Amino acid sequence: MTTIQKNITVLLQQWQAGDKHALDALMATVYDELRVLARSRLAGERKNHTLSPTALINEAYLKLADQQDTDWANRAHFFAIAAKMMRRILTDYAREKNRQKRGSGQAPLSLDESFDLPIHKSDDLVSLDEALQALAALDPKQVAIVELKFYGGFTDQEVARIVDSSRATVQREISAARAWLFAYFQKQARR
Amino acid sequence: MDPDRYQRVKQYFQRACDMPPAEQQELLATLAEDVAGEVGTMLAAFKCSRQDAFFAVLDPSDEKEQAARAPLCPPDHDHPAQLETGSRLGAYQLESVLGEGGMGVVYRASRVDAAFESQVALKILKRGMDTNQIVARFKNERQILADLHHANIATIHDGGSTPDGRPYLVMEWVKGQTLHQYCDTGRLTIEQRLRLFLDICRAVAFAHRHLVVHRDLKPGNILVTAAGVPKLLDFGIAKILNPDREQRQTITEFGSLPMTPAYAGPEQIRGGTITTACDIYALGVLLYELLSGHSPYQLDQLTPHNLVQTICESSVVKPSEQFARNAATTRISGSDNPAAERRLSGKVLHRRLQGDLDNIVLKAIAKQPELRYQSVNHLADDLERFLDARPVLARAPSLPYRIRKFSVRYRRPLAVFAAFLALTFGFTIALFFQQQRTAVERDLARRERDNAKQVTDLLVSVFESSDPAQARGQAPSAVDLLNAGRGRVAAELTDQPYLRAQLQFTLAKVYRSLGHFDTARPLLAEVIQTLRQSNGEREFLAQVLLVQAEVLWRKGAYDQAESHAREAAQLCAAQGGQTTATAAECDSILAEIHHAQGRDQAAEPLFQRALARRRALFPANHALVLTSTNNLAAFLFARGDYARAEELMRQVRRTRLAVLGHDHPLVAADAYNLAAMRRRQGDDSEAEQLFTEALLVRQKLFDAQHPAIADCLNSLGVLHYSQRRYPQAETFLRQALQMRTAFFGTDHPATAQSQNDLANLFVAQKKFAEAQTLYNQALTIREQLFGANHPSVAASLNNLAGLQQTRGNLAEAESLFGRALAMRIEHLGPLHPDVAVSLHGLALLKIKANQRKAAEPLLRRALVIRKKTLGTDHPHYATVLNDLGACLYTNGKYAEAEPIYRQSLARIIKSYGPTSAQAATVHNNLAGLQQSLGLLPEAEASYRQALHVRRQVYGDAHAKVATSRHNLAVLLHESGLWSEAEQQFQAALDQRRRLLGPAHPRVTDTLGDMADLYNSQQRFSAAEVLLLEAFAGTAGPRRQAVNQSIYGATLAGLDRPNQAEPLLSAACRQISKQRGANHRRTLRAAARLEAFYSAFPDHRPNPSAANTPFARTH
Repeated sequence: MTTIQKNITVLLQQWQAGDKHALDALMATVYDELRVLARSRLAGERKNHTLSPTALINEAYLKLADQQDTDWANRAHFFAIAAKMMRRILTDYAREKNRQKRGSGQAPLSLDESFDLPIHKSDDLVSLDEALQALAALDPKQVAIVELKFYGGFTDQEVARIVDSSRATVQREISAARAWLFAYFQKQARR
Repeated sequence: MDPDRYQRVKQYFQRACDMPPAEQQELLATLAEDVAGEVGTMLAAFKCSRQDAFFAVLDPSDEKEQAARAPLCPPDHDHPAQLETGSRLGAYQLESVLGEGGMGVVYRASRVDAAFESQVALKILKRGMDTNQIVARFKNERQILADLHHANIATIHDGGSTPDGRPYLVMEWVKGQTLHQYCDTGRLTIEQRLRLFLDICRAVAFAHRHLVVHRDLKPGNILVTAAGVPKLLDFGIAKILNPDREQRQTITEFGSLPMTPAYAGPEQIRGGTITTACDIYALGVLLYELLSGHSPYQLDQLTPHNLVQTICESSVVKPSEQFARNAATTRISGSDNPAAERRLSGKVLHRRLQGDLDNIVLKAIAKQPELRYQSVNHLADDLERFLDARPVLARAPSLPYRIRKFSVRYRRPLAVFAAFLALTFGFTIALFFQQQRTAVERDLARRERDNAKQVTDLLVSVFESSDPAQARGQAPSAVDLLNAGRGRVAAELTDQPYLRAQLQFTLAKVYRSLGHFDTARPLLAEVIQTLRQSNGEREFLAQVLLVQAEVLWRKGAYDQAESHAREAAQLCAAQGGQTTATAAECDSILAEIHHAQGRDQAAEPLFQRALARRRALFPANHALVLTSTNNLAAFLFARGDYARAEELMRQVRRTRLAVLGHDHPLVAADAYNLAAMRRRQGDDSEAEQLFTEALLVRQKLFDAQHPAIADCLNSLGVLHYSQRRYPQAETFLRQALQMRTAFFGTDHPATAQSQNDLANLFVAQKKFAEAQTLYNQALTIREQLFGANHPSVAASLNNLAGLQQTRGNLAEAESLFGRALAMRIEHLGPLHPDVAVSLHGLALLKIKANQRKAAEPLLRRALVIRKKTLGTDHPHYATVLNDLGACLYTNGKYAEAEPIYRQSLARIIKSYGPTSAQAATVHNNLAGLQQSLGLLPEAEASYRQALHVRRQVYGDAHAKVATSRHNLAVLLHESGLWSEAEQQFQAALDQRRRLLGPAHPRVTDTLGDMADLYNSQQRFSAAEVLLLEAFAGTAGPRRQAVNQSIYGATLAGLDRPNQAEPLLSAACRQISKQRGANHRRTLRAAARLEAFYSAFPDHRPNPSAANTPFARTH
C-alpha cells in the first residue's frame, strides 16, 4: 500500500515534470483502482450507499495518494485523470453490455451486470465516447471539462477548481460542448 | 471543421446564448453565412438537448448537493459556530443572538462610535457551512440589499468580514411583530389586513422592478412595526435577474435554494425555474392565511415526497371553505378564533371570503405559474378593485384551467413510486425530479409509456438489490411501503389500465422476490385479466404468465403453474418467438415445474433446451446462460447424477471466475454451491475448503455483519457438526446465530434456521434442555412469521418431535409428529407430497420406537399419496417403497419385503439411473434381505453391485463406499470367502478410520465384524486386539451386544471359558430382544454360544433348566 501511495504521488510529480511515461502508469493505476472500488461497492450492496462517481474517485484518491502531499495541483490532476478513467470504465462497460445484447464478440466482461453508475442506456454512452473523441480533436480542454462533469460527477464549482477556471466559464464551456455533442448525435442519427 | 474555426463558432454561440431570440437573430445576421449556419445549428441543438434526459447530467449543478456530500475542501471545525456576545466586530459590539437561520446567525448589535442609529441587526455566516457557494450567495445578498432602498424593505447599513474571513451584514434593526402576530393580536379587520398586504405587495413589486425575486417570502420574513409599517427582511436567497432582459422577467436558471415549503409553489418545490411568479405564489399563500386564518394545505405531518405531491397536485380548498371547516390541522399557529380576530362572526367572514376574495387568492396560488397574476402589481390592482367594489379579474377556475391540469396528470405514476424510493435511495429522487423537469414538453402518450418503463426498471433494480437477506431490518418497512404503493396503484390509476398493469406487475415481482407469494398471486391475476381484456401485448402477457407460473410453482400449485407456463409458451410460439429470451424463460420455468411434479423425464429436455436457447441467444459467459447451466446442475444433482451436476457447476464457476474475477459475490456463491455439492457427496474436506473460500471472499467484499457471511459460518458449523467436531461446530453455529439475530432480528427465517441447526448440535452433545429451548425459539419465530398453521411450523414440530424421540419421550414425540402431520394435512390437503413426507417420518419414528407394526400402515398410506400425487415413476415413490421394504424386513416379513425391494430398485433405476446413489442404497438393502433369506450368492452379487455403483458415484474415498465394503466383507465371511473378506474389512477399516475418526461407531462396527472373521480364522489374539479397540470406541447398544458376543467367542478361543460364558449368553439374550429371534445376528450369536457349549460342555447349563432365548420360533 505504501509503495502504491508513494508511486502515485511520485508519478504525478514526474508527469508534471514532463515525463510522458509517468502518465501511462498513472492512468493504469487509477483505472485499476477505480474498477476495483466500483466493483466492491456494488458487491457490498451496503445499505444507503449511493454510488456516485465522485465518491469513488475520492475514495480512490484517499487510497492511492500520499496523504502528506497537500499540493492542490496534484489533486486536481488526479481528479482529471480519474474522470478520464471513469469515462473509459463506463464506456467499456456499455460496450460490453451492447455486446451481450447483440450476442457477439469475445471481449471479457469488465464489470458485473449490476453496475449502475449514471443510469444511461449503453448505446448512448458508447456514442458519447465517440462524439467526445471527435470533439477532442477540436477542443481538448472542453472535453476534459465534460469528463469531469459527466463521468466524474463533479459540480461546476468543483470542475472550475480542478481546471483552474471560473464557474461561469465552466458552465459556458459545458453549454457549448453540450450543443456541439447534441448536434453531432443528430448528424450521426441522420447518417 | 478545424480547431480555430471551432473556437470562433463557440465564442459566437456562447454570446448568443445569453441573448433573447430577437438579438440572436441580429447577431447571426452579422456573421458569415457558413459560420452563422454552424452557430444556428448549435443554438438549436442546445435547446433540444435540454429536453434530453441523457444530457441532464450536464445541467448547471445544484451546489447544495455538493455541500451535502464530502466537499473537496473539508470544513474547518476549529472555530465555534457562534461568536461570543460582547465581542466586537468592526465598529459593532455584539449584544445578543436574535436568531439562527439556515445560513447564519443574527445578532443584535450596536455601533460603538454611535455615528448614526446605534441598534442594528448583524448577520454572520455560520461556521462549517462556508463553502464558496454560500459565501458567494451571501456576498450577493449584500450587494442586492445595498441597491434596494424602499420604506418597506429593511435597509442595509454596512458589511464586512470577521477576523476569520466570514462575511457579515449590518442591517436595519426592525422592532416589530411578525405579520400574522401583528394582524391577529391587533384584531385587524379584513379591510385593514388587505391594506397592509397591499403595502407588502408594492414593496415586492419594487424589488421585482429591480430584478430581485425574494424566493422566501413568509410571515417570519415580514415584520410590522408598532406604527403599522411592514418591513421585508432577508433577501438572502434573492437572485438578480439578468439586467439585459428586464422586459422578459424570467430567469432560466434552475435553482434549488433555501425556501419554506408552505410558501413555495410547485415549480419552486420541484427545483424548477425561479421567476417572479414564485413570489406571487408566496404572497397568495400569505393572503390566504391573513384572510381565513388557515393554511391552504396541511403540510407538517408529511414526508418530503408527500409534501411535494400535495403542493404540486392536490386541489386547493377555497379560503372560505377552509375557514368553514375550521380544522385545527390547517389553522395557522397563534390563531385561535379567526373570525373574532377579524372582528366578524363566522358566518359573515365566510360570506366575505366567498366569491372575489376566494378567486383572487386561488389565482395567486394557481399551480401553473402562467395562470397566476402576471405581476405582483396585477395582484395588488385586483385587490384594490375589490376594496373599491369594482369587478375583479380573477374568476373561478375555468374549463381551460382544468384542461391544463390534465397535463400534469401523467406525473402521478412517478410520484406514486417516488414515495418508496425516497426512503431507500436518495439519489433516485434526484433522478425523479430530473425526469419531471425534462419531461414537461414531451409527447404525452409516448412519455407515459417510457416513464412507466423507467419507473418499472428502477423499482425492480431497487428491490432486487434489497431482498430481505440484505435489507437489514428494513424488510418490514419495505413491505409497508409496498402495501401502500399497491393500494395507491389500484385506487389511482383506474383510468390508465396499461400503466396500472405494468406497475402492478412490477409490484408483484417485488413481492415475489420478497417471498410474499400470496400477495403477488392476486395482483398477477388482476394484471393477466387486464391484459386479456385489452388484448394487449402478447409478449407482456407471456411475461406476466411466467411470473405467475413461478409463484404458483413456489406455492406448490404445480398444475396451475404448469397451465400458466404452457399458455405463455403458446403465446411465444404463436408469435413465432421460438428463439426469444421469453421462450427460453418458458422452458426454464416449465422445467422447474415438471421437476417439482416429479416428471423429471419431461423436465430434463426442457432444462437442456432452456440452456440451448440461451446459449444461442447470448454469449457463453452471459449471466442467463450461466444461470441456466446452474439450474441444470442443481436438477442433475437432485437426480443423483452427481458427476454431471458437478461438472456443470464447475463449468459455471470457471466461467464466472474468468469473467468476474476471484473477488465477486457470484463467484463466492458458486464456491458455496459447489461446497454444498461436495458435502452431499461426502467429500467434507473439499466442501470445507470451498465453504472457507466463499467465507473469505465474502468477508473481503461484504461488511462483517453481512448475512452471506453468516450463511458460510452456518454451513461450516453444520459441516463440523456432521464431522462430530462439536466444539468447532458450536463456535461457528453460535457465531452464525448471533450474526443472524443481530442482522435480521429474532423474527426472520434465517435466524430460525440457525437456532434449529445449533439445536441439532446440542442434541448430539446431549444438551437436551438447550436444544429444546432453541427448537422452541425457532418454532416461535416461525409461528409469528407464518402463523400457527404453516408447513415450516410443521417442520419445527417435527424437529421437536425428533428431540423428544431422542430423549425417550416417545409419547410426546408421537404427539408432536402427529400435530405436524395434522397441520400439513389441514394446510396442504391430505394428498400433498409433504404429508407423505410426514407420514414417512412418523413411520420411521415408529420403527425406531420398536413399533414396527404401526409403521407399516403409515408407509403404505404414504405410498398411496405418492402414487396418487406423483405417480409411480416419481423417485419419492421408490423411496417410500424402499422404506416399506426395510420395514417389512425388520418386521421379519422377508418374503413380502423382497418383491417390494425389487420394485423399488426398478423404479429407482428408472428415475435416477443405474449409477446413482439411490440405486446403490437399494442394492445394499436388497443384499441385506437376501443375506437374511440365506441367498448368499444373490446377496454377494447385490453387495458387489452396491459397492461398484457407490465407487462410481462417490469415488473411492467415501464413507458409504466403506460401508459397502464392510457389508460385502461380512457376507464374504459368511460365505467362507475369508481372504477377500479380510481385504475388504481392512479397506473399510482404513477408510472409516480416516474419514470418520478412530472412535466412530462405524469403526467399532468394522472392528467387531473383522474380529468375528479372525475368530473364524482362529486368529484369536488378533481378534482380541481389534475388540479391545472396539470397546474403547463408541457403540450403540446393539453393536455393543454383538461385539460382546464376538468377544465371547474370542475368549473361548483363547481358552478363557469362565470369562467367555457370561458374555456369550448375555449377548445372545440381548440381541434376541433387540432384533427378534430369527434375525441373522441373533442366529449368529446363538451359533457362537452353541459352539462354545460344544467346546466346553461343562459350561452347558442343565438341559432341564434350559430356557434358551434363541430357540427358533418357526
